[in-house]
Amino acid sequence: MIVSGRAQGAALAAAFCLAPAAGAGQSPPVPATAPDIPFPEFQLRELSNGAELLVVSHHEQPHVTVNLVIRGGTAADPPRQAGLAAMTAELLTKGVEGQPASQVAEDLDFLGAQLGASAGPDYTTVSLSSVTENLDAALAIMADVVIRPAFPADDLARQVARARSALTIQERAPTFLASRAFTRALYGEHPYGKIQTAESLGRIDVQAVTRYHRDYYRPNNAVFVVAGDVSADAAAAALDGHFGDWEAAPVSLPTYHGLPQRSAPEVVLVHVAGARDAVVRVGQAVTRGDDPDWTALRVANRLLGEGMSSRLGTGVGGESGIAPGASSGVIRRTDAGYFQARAEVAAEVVDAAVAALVAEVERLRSEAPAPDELEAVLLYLAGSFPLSIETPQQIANQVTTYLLLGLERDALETYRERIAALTPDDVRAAVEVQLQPDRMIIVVAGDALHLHDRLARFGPVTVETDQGVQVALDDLRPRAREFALDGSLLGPGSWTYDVQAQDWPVGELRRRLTPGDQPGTMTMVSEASIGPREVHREVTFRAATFEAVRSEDRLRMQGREMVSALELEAGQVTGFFRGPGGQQPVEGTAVAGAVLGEMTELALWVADLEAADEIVIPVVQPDGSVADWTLKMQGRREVTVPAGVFDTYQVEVDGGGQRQRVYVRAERPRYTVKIEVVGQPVVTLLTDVTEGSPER
Amino acid sequence: MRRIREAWLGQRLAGGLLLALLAAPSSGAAQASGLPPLPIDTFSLSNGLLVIVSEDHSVPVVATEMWFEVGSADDPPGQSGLTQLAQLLARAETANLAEGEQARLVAEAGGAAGAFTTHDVTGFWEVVPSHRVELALWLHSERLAGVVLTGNGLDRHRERLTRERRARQQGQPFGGVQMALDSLATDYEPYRHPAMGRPGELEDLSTDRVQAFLDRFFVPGNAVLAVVGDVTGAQVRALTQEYLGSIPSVAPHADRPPAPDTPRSDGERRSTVEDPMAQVPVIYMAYNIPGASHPDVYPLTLLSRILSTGESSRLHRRLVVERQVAPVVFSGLNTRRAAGLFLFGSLPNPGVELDRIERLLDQEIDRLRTEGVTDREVEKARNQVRAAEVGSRLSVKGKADVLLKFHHLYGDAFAVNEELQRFEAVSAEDIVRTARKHLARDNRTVIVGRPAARGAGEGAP
Repeated sequence: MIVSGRAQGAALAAAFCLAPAAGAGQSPPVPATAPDIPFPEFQLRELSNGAELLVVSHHEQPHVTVNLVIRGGTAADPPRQAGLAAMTAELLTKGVEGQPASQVAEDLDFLGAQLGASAGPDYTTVSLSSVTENLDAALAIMADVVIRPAFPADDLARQVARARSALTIQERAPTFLASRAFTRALYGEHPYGKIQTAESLGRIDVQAVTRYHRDYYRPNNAVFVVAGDVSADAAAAALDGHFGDWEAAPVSLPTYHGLPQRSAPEVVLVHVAGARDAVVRVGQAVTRGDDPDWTALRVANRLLGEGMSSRLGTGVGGESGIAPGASSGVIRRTDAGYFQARAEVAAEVVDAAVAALVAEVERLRSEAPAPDELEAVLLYLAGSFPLSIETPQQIANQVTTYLLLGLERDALETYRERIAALTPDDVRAAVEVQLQPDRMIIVVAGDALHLHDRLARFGPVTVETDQGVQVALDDLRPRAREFALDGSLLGPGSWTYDVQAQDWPVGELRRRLTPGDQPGTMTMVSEASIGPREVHREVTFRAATFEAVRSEDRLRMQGREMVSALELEAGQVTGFFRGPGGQQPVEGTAVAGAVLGEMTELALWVADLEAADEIVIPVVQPDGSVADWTLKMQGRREVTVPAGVFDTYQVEVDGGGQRQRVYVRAERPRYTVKIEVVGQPVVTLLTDVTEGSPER
Repeated sequence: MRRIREAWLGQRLAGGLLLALLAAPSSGAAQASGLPPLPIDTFSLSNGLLVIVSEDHSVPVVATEMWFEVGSADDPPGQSGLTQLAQLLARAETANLAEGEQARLVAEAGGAAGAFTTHDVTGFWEVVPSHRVELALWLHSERLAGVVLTGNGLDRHRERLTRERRARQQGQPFGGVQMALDSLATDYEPYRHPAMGRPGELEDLSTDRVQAFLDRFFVPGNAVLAVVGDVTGAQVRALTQEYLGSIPSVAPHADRPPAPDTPRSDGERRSTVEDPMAQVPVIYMAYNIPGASHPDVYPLTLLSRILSTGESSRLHRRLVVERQVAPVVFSGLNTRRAAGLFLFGSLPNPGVELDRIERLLDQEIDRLRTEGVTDREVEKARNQVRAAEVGSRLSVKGKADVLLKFHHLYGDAFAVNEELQRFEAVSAEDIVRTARKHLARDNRTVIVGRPAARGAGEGAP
């Protein structure tokens, strides 16, 4: 340990001059008078190439950020090539004409500088950050990529592939699906409604990227925002030097039209099969970014749903309320922005949650806020001002927003005064104009089969898939089994399997098929011990008709047990689920031919695997609902396992959240020879077979 | 690309490993060519509380941040998670404030606040407009003077901790993988459990037990306060005396086992973790390295940058650009006081086997031993360290973090202004030497996370 002499000295000095302790009081200190903090200095210039320049000088640390803001953004994407602005930005920093592909990265990394670009709805922003002494060299690189980007075709192909695979991953998240459906429904044909898809990304080629760059990346369409350790004069001189040969050209920006007009609420339901929760988004379009109503709208939103002490944060969103964690937000854009209230709730209470969110908006319109409630919000908005101007970048961002919305400098400097002057009725009046519950869209992502009826009272419900394709609710229902299976093809026997992970034995599986307790039934018992897990599964069915009777699945791991027991009679599912959280009863209705437990695999032992390419079987889930499992035939394979060499049918079984490849003996009697879990190095291999009733 | 990388980084964040990486240059650099030194003043109150002041009058805000020398490494055996639970309670139940009031008071003052627990320390911070600095200090006094436990709050926060742990471990991709890595990689027992604790260890906890833990560790003599921003040293002396000076202290007595002299070298360890949240597999490698104050940490910091910072770094060039086997690859130091880890991580592009990624990583590490690094690479890494150091000082909270970190790791906040020589002194040979010494097979741990089946299908494969 090093303890510096200075530290010791200071500590010693302090110890001698200790004053008698006054002691801390029992209530928070009274605020000292807030100093009058003017909005920090900034300078606006015009560069010789026609670009605007905004400089916030701040010399505390030797650091500068330079943002180049280019009007256009994703709103300027051609409708069939949604994603073009983002892809252009992404590729911009990958290389410069006439240089080796890796040169930009090498030069930037050597300087320790960061350069990136990204596209938003209204603008593309190219951002540079650098220590002061390397600013000039970093600006030279920035100018190269902005004026002379290479847009290499192989980089484009790679970026498109990445964007598409990222999309596939995002599409698994209900929150993403809800937000995307919200944007689509809210904006429709409006330029803000462009949605990236695998197809639109696939249509982006080098010509399109080059064209977007040529059309929008022009100095007369751009603002430089420089913040940090540099004077306005030095910034202007450096930018004039590096960007002097950037040519101006006429730019035609997107025109904003096509916003759907609504007169009644609409519900969009994105189907996520099997989801227990519902992701709720309730909102509507609001006014343009330059509307004076924005001051009151921000205040209203803070009051309603921003922060833990807002109405949503304490009321509907309280820990025990209907929608814990509910919040709301307002998004300001050049053209129409939007308001959105958000919650994630259990499917059972989705209607109560939506009703509560709508009611809160209604209350905001009809009642002026109590003076002290408004006062707290205004105090916060004024009080947080110092933290909002802590870094030069923050200051620059605020000025940029105002600048790009076309607002006067005065609007920025008088913001706090205008906030302070708002009365409760000003806020209510602005909300009344901007938010109308009868124009709301209600977007929910979750299991449409559970949610549909609960949402129907709020307006006409459109159901769509995770790909945004409209579907009829009935198409999502599990279908009754449309073919007969003959369980009497099954005979008693026992089977033993080794379970291996990465070629290493991790457990054993034993199966036994015997006549059931009641005449005409059969029972399959599977017992597995795999690592720390012990699994016992049992299912009984009528042999002649392959109709399910009951099942019981037990999973034991590290002293905990989960049990799912289900019975099926005349289409009614009853039973229970018992886990660490206690026991819950399960009830449901099953379609005809629904099966339980491992009957999905037994179906392969009796089905006519030559005749069908695909079999869909309704399967009762542990929660009593029914979902379709798909069995896909993938041809015949010879398979070698410890029990011998077998001619098998290879079948892919997709259901219950996993995919397995099952190899079933082709000759009768049929049984499973091998199981692979798709995407995992886990296999189950037959080691021993005994046909006929085994010894118990 | 950036979106994928950010999404991926986001997934890792909560596991805590990356927090340390992002904080990496755990030893920041000032450069001969001139990082302005941070002005620093330190003094102690009679109850043992050390105060570090750094004035910055360029902005009307102040950060007050207090670190206690107690982390999850001090969780009593069989009660992992206790430190983190104590931290939650300290923000919830104090003599004069009910739950939620600390946050409300800070928000009403236009400020921001937070708290955290790492293996080594527990911290509480506020950033407030400078005219509200007294509020921030009063809140520190509330926590320091003592948490007043109610059984109710204990139950609720224990549940909250369990919920959050579950969300981190099971509710996000690779959460469980990171926890497995931490416990398998090191033999230093205090670092083997996550800060949030292992499941089920806090269930029989009594109020008295938590109170005793708080009374032992969350005391002035075990704390350091940094005050950074628009205040004067004189102001801070008067105000800390007023608000914090009369809080009595007892000497804390930590009893962590001593840090190992050398990292373990008893052979490679491997494990596979099934992860129901993951969409793609992931590989992590962790090499054991010495504690943060060991001189080898400087060359290792530069080495990590040479390997993976920026698109021109060795691993990015090889795996992402040339071979196109992975969308992202990272390396970084998880620097902790007693023993650290040098981490590598990557995930494969579709259709690529993890083995291939592991082989390429191994080849690059072998290349270090045989070919060394160039002087230009070393200079580049130094430039990056310096830029990162400047970046960490752009906010008052960032400066408070840096000062506390240097005090914590080196016993001396002033060391922040003397770091440049240490990085300047590192040669290309030093980097190769430390790579040979620490990036050795027999001290590493490899963990593979694989997507696992979801939901009720758990059971027979």
